[in-house]
Amino acid sequence: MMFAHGYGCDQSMWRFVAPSFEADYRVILLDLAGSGGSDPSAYDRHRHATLLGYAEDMLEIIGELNLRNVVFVGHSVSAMIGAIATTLRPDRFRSLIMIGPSPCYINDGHYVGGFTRSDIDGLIDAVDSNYLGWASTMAPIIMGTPERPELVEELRNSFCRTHPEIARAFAKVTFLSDNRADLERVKTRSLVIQVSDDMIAPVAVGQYVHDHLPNSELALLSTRGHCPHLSAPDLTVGVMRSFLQRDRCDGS
Amino acid sequence: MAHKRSSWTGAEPLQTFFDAAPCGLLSAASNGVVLAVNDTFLSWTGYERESLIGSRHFDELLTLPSRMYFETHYWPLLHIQGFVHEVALDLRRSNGSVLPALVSACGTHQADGTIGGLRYVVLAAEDRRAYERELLLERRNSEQAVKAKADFLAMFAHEIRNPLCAVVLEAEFLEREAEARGDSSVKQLRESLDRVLKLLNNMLDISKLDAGKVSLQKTEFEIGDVVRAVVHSLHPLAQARHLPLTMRVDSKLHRRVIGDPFKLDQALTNLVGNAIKFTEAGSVTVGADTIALRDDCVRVRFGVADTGIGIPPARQNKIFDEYEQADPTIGQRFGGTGLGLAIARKLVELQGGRLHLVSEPGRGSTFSFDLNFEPA
Repeated sequence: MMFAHGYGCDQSMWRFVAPSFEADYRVILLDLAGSGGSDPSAYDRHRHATLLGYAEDMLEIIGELNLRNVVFVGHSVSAMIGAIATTLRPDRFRSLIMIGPSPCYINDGHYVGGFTRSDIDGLIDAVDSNYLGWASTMAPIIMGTPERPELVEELRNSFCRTHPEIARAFAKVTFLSDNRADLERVKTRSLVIQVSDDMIAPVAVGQYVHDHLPNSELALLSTRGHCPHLSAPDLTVGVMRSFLQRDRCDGS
Repeated sequence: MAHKRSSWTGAEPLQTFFDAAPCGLLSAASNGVVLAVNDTFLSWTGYERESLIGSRHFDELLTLPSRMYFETHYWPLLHIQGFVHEVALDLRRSNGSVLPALVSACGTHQADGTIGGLRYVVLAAEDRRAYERELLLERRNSEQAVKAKADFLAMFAHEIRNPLCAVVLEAEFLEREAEARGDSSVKQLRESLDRVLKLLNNMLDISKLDAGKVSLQKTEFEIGDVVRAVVHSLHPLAQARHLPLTMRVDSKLHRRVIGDPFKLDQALTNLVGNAIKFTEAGSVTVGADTIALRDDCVRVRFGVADTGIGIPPARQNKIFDEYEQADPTIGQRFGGTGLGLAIARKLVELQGGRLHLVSEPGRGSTFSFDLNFEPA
């Protein structure tokens, strides 16, 4: 099972969910290029200007570790990254679990993604503003203890470890991409986990994903927020387990 | 709990302290529903206590972009580490106006590691955020100005290079003709043109590297071949300055690896060219040593050592910057623009390494960098 985190986070967001699957699966956690503790040189602003670049990263990891029958669990933007990866190499994947997916965040005609372009610009301002805020908060501490560089690591929380330019670029690729056309090409069996009250990925979006994925199930969680695997891990693990059990029965 | 309450020895009741604290205080359930809120928060935002308690979530009081930031950054981090400090968020007041704030939070951990109740501290940060916005705007404007200037420079250099190449070819032709007549006057003209062309090429390289337009082209090669080619191409320059130019390649590196030989060549050529330029007596040595050899990775340390003028400690950090030389008189004494080391640094970084310098004024300098290669 490969777990890929969403925008603004890193692999530590799977801490309440991933251990539940360790007994039955080989669990692989990863930080996307440019996020968390990933190798800074792995980020390439051209390659990672689209979700395809991230999807190719996933396939490289799968190739490197020689994985087959992968259950790919992706939160938010990584749900779409996983979906694209399955269209490129369907033979490598057993199933796809999408938590809070959205193929397009921007409203477009009858399609309601939930946001306008100016909302996304506002989010990017918030990202920038927090780098400035963090910089001014942390600078005296960091400057005062140059002999202890690990303090920087301790102080910079996952989202502040990301370089501001990468954070801005990732915000754009996450929220301005339109990958609706990719959904129809996903042949891998999929589970869409949708939260009943999620302002980032509203129910209508989860329903759209389910309707356009040729082979999918929809699980609606009665909870709130964009990260049910953090705020309602038991519910999340429950629907994942039940899907995987059915998947195993049907596949065997 | 009773013994904890008794530790409060303030003259005013705890409730008065809570309500009149010079910051907004909120207590919320694990799902974010507001359970208690102090008077300061209510007076800053204009909400009635009854309209918040038990019915509103804290994130619902934020502007839409701040809510997005909260959902994607703040909330996950709060659940992962149990606290978040001073994150800039915009609150929406009851009258629709915006209150820029810094919001900290901590949660009580439950037995299973998940978050129970939440406590928020809200600091009004109108002035601070206004300054930050100005700084941000200033930074964006200057970034745009720098980009516009760089684009112009790149376009300018590119436009000049083509006709200049034709002029250089013509000058070479004239030089050969003049030399056949025993006339060396054209040589100086051709050398000056060569310097201008080299400068333009460097400017184009820097602008391409800065714009991220240079990418690695992986291919199979032998490291010793690259080092030999660099030494061979710069041998005439070293010879003209009566400097021995030597190379040392670890015997374990007589094997094929996968990497970008052209970028490695260019980085080493710049470093060796630089070393020759700044060395008046002594020698220049290029070395490549294996520092780790695994089935999946060969880690190599490259070094370029000279016995040149060296670089004073105070200037050592600056010399990797574009257009910087250790001393303003250096350009007059040794020529050049200071782009060579900046290009070398960027090329090394592009390949995943870092350029290091050890230098002593009057004794010489050693530039080194480590790169990983896949075995072929």
